[in-house]
Amino acid sequence: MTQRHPYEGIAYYRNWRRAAGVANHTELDPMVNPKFAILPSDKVATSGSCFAQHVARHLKANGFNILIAEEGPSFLTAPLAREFQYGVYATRSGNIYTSRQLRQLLERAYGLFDPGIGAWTREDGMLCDPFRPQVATYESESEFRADRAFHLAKVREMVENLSVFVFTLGLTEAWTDETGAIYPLAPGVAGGTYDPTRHRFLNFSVDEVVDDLRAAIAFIKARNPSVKFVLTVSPVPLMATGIDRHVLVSTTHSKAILRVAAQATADADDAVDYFPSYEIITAPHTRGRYFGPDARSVNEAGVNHVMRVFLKHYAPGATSGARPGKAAAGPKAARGASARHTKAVEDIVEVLCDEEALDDTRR
Amino acid sequence: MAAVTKSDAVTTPNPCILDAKTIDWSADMEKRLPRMVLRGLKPARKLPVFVIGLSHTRSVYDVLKDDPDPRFGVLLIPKGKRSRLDEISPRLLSRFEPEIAVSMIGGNEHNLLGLIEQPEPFDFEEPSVPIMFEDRRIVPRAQVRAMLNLMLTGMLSKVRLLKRFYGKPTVHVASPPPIPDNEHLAQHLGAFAKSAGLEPRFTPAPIRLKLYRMGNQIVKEMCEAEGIHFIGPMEEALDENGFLAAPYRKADPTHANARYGAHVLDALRAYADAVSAGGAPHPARVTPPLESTS
Repeated sequence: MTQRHPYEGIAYYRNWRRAAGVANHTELDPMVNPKFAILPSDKVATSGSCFAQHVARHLKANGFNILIAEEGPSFLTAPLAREFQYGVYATRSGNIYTSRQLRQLLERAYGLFDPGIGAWTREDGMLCDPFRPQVATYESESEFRADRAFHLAKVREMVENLSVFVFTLGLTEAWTDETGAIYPLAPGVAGGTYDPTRHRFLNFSVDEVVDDLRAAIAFIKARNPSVKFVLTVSPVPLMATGIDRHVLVSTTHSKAILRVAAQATADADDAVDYFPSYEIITAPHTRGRYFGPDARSVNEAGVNHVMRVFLKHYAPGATSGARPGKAAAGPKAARGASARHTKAVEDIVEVLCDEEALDDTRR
Repeated sequence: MAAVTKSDAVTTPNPCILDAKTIDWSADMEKRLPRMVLRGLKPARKLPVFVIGLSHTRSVYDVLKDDPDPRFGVLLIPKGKRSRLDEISPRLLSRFEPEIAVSMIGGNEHNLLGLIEQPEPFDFEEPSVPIMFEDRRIVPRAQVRAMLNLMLTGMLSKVRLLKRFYGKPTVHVASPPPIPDNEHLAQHLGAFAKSAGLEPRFTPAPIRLKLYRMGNQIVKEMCEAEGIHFIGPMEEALDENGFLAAPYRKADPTHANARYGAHVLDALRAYADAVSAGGAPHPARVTPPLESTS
């Protein structure tokens, strides 16, 4: 039987009216033919813009083997470690909004890019790292340098140990200075001093984003050839734009560039896949119900939908809430060891204090 | 404060050594009785200086046991079914009516964090101890402070309770500084550590001193905010680096001996005299006594 036209008999998902999700938005599943599966043994590292935090949290909750290369000090309790932003991503990098920022982080970690930028001073007098100004504060330059060196060492550890890198592209707009270093936040927002004569606004083009993405991927593969990549685009609109135009227009422009760059990068590399979280959240099917009251933040129902689809395709046989494998033993086990240590020392001190209260011979 | 001399003191039983129970019966029975009934059995005891605390109180307890000073009453909280810190309650405090309340509560939090080496060895900057172990993980001060703050929460609430319950001049006495000698620690702690399944490896002494000083700073800040006078480590008992000098140690890894306690009592006497003369560093702030609820 011959086809009357090339669209006859195509898969339902290729046809808007037949693809699930129009009548019932929860059935929307735009992911087709993933290039690989994520195995329980795969060490998954997440990074990117703020939406990536949701991805990391849900992957962890669903038992993925999440790689946390940069853990908090062993004496910190889990809630305190979280407060200091350990475990949010594979390293304590904070949000990485642009592909140039990712590329530079990797190069800085391996000593291939050193813009020679020290700590910024915040309004409260504390110091912060210009490359992650909202992650940590320091009381001295030496304390800052030590923690940055530790962080970059952990970025190297992540690169050399990960199996799957899930990167969420967030922005094309960025700020730089004469060094070429890309700042995640404009100087003056969370530290540092904005100097219009030094600081420059950038808005990356499709070609620039693709170049940076490919360079970052090649950089990681050169040190860890078997790594697979999942690229996503954050559906979260820009908070503000550096261009004199409506922020919505800047948002659609930015997201369009990122979406094209992610596709182009994935199309050119079998180890790179594109996952349509952006589409799930912004689809007309959802009629905006996955955005919060601020029309910007993504609500939990939206995140759950994204992760349900993610699990369905990358962890075959698992559904949201199921556990394809054991959670990463590293951080949990380390935190457990620390808790056991603390309890044991408590017991010792308690015993000693009992002795002290009872014993009047040990003068 | 009424002038009381040593000659007034009743020697048997030693009036300085206070008991956590009202009369000699089971503590459980006492806890079941309403406070009003207890008050009927025995009214709150008036005391010039009431010292209450946990294990570090032993240093002054030992002095007063052998050499009573009727100005002082010391209550060393015994171990009960609850944690010793939890024993310090409005119910217990209501049994005494001091002119000056002295806390020797807590004081081991820095030891919990750093006496025995953590699974991941660390160091941090403390301006007063300019030594850094670069081969260890250098942790930002904010993280160490956050953890110490958390560990000190329970102890601080009890010191605060003392001030708020009595509304009288209140003093907190810091625990003694660390002992630098790891051999001393091994001799007196090694067996405990092994029995608890821990390697008896001790955090380097300078780091233990940093933890001690940071902990003291946190407590001092809270005391100042509450109008509580903070007494730091006894200067006379420090070695040249700020550790507990050998003559003040005992067969124990963290506590000081009675010789140290004698200096603490001297400092408290000086404070009490200053209060009497109206010149105490932190005189009774107008703090209404806490209405007890237990």
